[in-house]
Amino acid sequence: MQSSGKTKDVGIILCECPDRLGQRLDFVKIERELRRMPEVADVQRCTDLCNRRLAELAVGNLLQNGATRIVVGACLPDHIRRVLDDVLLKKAHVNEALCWAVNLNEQCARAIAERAAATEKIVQQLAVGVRRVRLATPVRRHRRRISTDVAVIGGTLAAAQAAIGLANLGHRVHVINCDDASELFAVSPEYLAYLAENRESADELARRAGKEIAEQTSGNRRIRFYTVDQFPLVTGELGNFRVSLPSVKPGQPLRVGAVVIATEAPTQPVPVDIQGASPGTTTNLDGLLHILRSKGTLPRKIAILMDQGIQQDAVRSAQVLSVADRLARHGTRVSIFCEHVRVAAWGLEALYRRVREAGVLVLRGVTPQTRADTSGGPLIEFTDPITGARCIEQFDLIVSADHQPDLAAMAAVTTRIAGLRSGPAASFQPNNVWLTPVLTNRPGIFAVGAARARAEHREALTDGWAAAAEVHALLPSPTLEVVGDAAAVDPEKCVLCLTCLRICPHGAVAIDHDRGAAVISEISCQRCGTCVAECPALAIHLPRYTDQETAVDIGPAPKVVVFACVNSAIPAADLAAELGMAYSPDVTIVRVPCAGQVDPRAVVQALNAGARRVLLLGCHPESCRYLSGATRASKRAERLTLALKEAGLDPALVSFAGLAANEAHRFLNLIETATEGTTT
Amino acid sequence: MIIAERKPITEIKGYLTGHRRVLVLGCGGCVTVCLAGGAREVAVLAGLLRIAGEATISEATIERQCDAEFFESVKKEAEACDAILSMACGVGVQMAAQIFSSKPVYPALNTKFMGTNDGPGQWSENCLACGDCKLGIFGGICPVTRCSKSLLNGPCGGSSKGKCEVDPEHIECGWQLIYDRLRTLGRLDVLEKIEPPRDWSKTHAGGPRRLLRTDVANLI
Amino acid sequence: MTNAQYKSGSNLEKKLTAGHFVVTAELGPPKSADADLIRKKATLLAGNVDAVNITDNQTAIVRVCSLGVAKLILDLGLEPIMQMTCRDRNRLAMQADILGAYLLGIRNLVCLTGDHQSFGNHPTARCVYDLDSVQLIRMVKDMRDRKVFACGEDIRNSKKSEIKEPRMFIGAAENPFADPFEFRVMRLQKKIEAGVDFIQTQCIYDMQRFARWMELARDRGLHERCYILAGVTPLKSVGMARHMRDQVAGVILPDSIVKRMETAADPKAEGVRICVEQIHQLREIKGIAGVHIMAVEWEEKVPEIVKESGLRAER
Repeated sequence: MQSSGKTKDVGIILCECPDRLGQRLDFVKIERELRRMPEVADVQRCTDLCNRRLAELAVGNLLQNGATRIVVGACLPDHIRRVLDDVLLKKAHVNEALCWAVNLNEQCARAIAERAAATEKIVQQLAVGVRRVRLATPVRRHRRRISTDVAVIGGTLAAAQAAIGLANLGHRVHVINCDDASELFAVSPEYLAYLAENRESADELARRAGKEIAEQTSGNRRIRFYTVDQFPLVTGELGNFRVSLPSVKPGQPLRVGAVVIATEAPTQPVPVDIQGASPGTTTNLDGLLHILRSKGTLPRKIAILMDQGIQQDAVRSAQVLSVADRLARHGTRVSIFCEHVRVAAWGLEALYRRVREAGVLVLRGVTPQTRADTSGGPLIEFTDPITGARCIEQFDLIVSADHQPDLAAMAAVTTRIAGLRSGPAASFQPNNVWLTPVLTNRPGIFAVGAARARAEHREALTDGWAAAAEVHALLPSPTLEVVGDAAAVDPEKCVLCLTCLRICPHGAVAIDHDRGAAVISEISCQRCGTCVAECPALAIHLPRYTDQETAVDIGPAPKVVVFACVNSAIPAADLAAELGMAYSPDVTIVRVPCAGQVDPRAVVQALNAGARRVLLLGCHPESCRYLSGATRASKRAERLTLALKEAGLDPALVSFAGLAANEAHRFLNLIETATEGTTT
Repeated sequence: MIIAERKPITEIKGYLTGHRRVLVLGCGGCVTVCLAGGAREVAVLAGLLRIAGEATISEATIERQCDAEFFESVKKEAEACDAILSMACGVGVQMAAQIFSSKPVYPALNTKFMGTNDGPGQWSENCLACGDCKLGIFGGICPVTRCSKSLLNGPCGGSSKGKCEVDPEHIECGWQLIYDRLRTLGRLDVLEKIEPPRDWSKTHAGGPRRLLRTDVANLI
Repeated sequence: MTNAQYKSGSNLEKKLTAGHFVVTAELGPPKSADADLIRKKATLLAGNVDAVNITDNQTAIVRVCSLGVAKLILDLGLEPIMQMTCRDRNRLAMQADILGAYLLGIRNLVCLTGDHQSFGNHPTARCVYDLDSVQLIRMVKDMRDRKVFACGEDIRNSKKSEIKEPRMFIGAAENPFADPFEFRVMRLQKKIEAGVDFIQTQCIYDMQRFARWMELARDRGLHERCYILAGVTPLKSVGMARHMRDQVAGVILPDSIVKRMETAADPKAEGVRICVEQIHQLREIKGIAGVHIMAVEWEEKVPEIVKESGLRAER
């Protein structure tokens, strides 16, 4: 709990690292000012906190002098975290929440050129640290028993590879095939002609891959197989998922620690519709594969259409070229009509050349128009790209290679895993750089291969290995450490508006019907703080970022307040300082876990306290560490700007900007724009 | 649920001109859930008004403004103010005006409709409180609310591709929805019957309505 | 047949009952107290058509009321078809207007839902829609045949007085091109059940779809229970063709017709030509009792259309 009124219980360690800080700051003054604070029990100046012995000495002194809460002022606290963790947390048993680190170097000493101004800034920052640490409540860590079993859902090669990888790493794997049972871990050599220089080698490689997979999965003690007819319902959280298989194990859901989605691509073939064409003259890729395998006579002349409505990807190119290669070898005349031939993968260029040499016609950038002749034979009319002449060609078979997202198939999965967000274009992985390679928005749930639009053979295998590695890193032992600093809902205040449940980017919120309130998973919560800022009843709080603590951060007389996200703006600020870029001491930087945590009330509070500018800095919205936080911050800033305008105030008082962790110059520009015209 | 939306701040400022001390009063009911007048909205609006004006602004949020008892906790503060800005729906604003009868009470919101929450930040109207619910006839879709003309024997000639002529981009034809639903239920026969003219006296057209439960009211 | 055996005794009713292929047209009232314009339009139509519809605040734009114009043209010797929408009047005003119209000699009444006020020049007005078109049809029929008001009371001054009911020939509109398509014929049947005597369809350009709709209507025997008049509108310009194809809900205009207008040397003449062709085609469809020419703000073309389609010879 928080410190009561008059207790002197805060101890401050100041690192006087001579080559970094000594010159730039007046430590005598700093110590003097801090000792004046009624809450401060003791201040210890240390010449080099990186030295473990000196650190132990300083901490020992503080504790002896009655300090129970510690503020550490040093350079890049992460730098010396190891020592402090050992000394403060492990040896001296000070609770981690009762410690606060202030970056003396990057954000003060280097950022502010003038010594007196830098010194004053440091005193302010450390005072904020003192007040913060007094408001903090100790955080508990505990270990929770979890399952290290893994559910791999799907029957693709990626599923097989993930299962093998996980089994090798010691996990028990449950492979739940909800795709076509007869095609479990199937390899289609017809689509893999690019794997080698010539077709025979490619076929051999494909066959061998299939054989290896079969050998490593069947008879593997750690891998169990289940066949179901639809994607199973998955509930629970990382470490404790429950996968329901009512047709196979009724009433006994599988308990697993992680889930890997490895299903077939949630797409459907786009049919080619030719009015008046005889039956059997059109088909899709599946149908063509069937014809190839049926060992009957192949059609003499085939046209393959690609990119007709929706642009297809390299996988489709690979499939089409491979199939065309095979057909050409059998004497079939093949024409491919497409927008582009995508060969950006090893082996595809060579295949493309082979295919052309085999006499396959590839017509790029051509818009084919299909129709039927009087006897029902399909025709394609097009403009020859070279001569410009209008051509009409007859074919025996027209194949549509195009696929489009199958919304029903996507929904079949997203409705069975609450809170799972799909990405664009038939992928269960949102398009965000932080989720690479195989993460989804939900902790503990992964998407591999075709399930994340990476259906290419080698990519699928890589994904499988990657998922195994990720899962193993996440669940190395039967217990998982849980830190008690997740966002928490006050059930008395919760009005069950469902806002937090709907907006949590990680699917970490559920409804506790007994208590009639929302409840947040301590394991899944990423502590981004978005829910806290959205809850209309102010019922959620995030430890270390409560209203009181934020008020302390803003201070009584702010001039320019910059809410800076620790994933983007803070590292950019640190880098700026390291590069010697200085900025005005008028700037108050408030660290936030995500721009999405910044409450509009805090912004208005800063303005009320006299701030002349409030800047919200977060990641570039499409690369937000927590997926949607930066976008939300940007929308909130928009709404506030409009309200300011309506209220007759300057709309430029509040703004949001996105930046990356290495954009030091951008950070500086944004700060300079914010401080110009507002300097005292 | 009742859905409301904050008025333009220009309008709100207009109400408050000349007042020296204002209480911004939020409501923990519907307007909290529709993100318009709860504790958070009160804090933001009060904060902006403090910067924008000369009045002293105090703020509070009570559980609901449609029941008198909840106003107890803010009576003292309200008495000290010379105006109250209620962030409740129209019902709450009137209750506040009734309780603080000697003070001007202004609305901060426009109460819009009763409707569903279709997703975060999206609401749509689907009940007009006509007092004579016919949802059982029309497959659970209200022709009074979902049809722009409240037809009972619709659709009209302006229904095209499932959209209403009044705003084809945003409004679905209520009668297309009814038709589709009844077809799913296998009850298209319902549409062959002629639905007689509605008794509009049960709506507000018959005067402001009251409801009295004699088994509960005035028994003590 | 004697007058007493007719429902209303209107000339339109008599001609339809006798099996004539009737021609009706539309007259749009002026937006001001302009009797001259009314006379001018009436003159154009006189002798060319069997009856004239007077629109009622069409597209929610305020114009001289249908009742007033109907009386004016009646005095000029034409047969008016009064229109009444449900948008602007409640059942009290409607019944009062029906009584008044009847006393002034008007005998044909078309019952419509009415375009929403948001389309017109008074979008902030409150709409009424106390009744919908089906309920209005039934109310007019009950006034005529059961001789009662909507509230159930007899149409008489007092218990001792004679019943004097208004006897209208009841019409309605139907749109074979609106959605849901399968339901449109059902809706026509509903109006017939309610008591409609004749209907006029929305303007037709898509012959195939209309023929299909008529087929469905004939399957239910609806063409024998009410008179179906097919609506046509001559296209005045390429712009009008495109506008009707893209912006007007409830009108289906095939691209082939737009193309004809675009490639024509004289679009106006082409528009009239297309209209005449349509009338010829419509006459071939079984169950059509007449044609309703809606020459919106182009009433002067009606005589030419009537003549070119051979309907003039039958007048």
